[in-house]
Amino acid sequence: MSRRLFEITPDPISVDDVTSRLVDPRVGAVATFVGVVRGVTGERETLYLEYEAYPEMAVRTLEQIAQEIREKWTDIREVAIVHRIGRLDVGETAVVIALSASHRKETFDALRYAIDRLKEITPIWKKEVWSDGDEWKSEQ
Amino acid sequence: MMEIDVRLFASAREIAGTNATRIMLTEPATVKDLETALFERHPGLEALRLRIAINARYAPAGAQVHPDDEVAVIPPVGGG
Repeated sequence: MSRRLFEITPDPISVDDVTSRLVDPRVGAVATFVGVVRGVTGERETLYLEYEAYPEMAVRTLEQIAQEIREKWTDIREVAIVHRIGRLDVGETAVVIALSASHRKETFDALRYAIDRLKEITPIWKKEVWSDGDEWKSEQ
Repeated sequence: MMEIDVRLFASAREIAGTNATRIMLTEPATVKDLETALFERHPGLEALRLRIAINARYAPAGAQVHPDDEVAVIPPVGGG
């Protein structure tokens, strides 16, 4: 079983796979965030999303995010982040973030930080494709 | 002169019509110099809020660009 904690992959990803990469026996809590392809944004119906990455740099930024988390929340043990690229249909999982801690308290804030930071610095792009057009989306 | 191969992604790739472009720069050169040459070559890129990465790290405008650096254009990101 893979122990890669940070990965960009064209293959389908699952929460179980990503949480299984966290193996620290001291943990008492594992928290996960799952990002899923949304079918409707505003008034428009999305047909599918096309994700693209600069993989080497994306993995490096995911490692950086985990490092930042461990500096901010000392109870966090391990962080795993797997992001899928390529064409994803509505309802498919785009990203899974899993982190472990000895207690639950810090896990929720750390999870929120992880996904917010990913959207800010990780070189991954998504194009929404509708029946009558498409657009690269960013919250920046 | 030095030749720098610049990788382009997502919206920047589509606007430039290519996933890599070769830029000529006079040494020493900064990220700002690279951007200026890039926008002359591909004017459509100027409207994007681009960041430049050198060797897979974001680089400020004043950073030096060297001949063997891996340079990439990073348009606004949107993962998750």
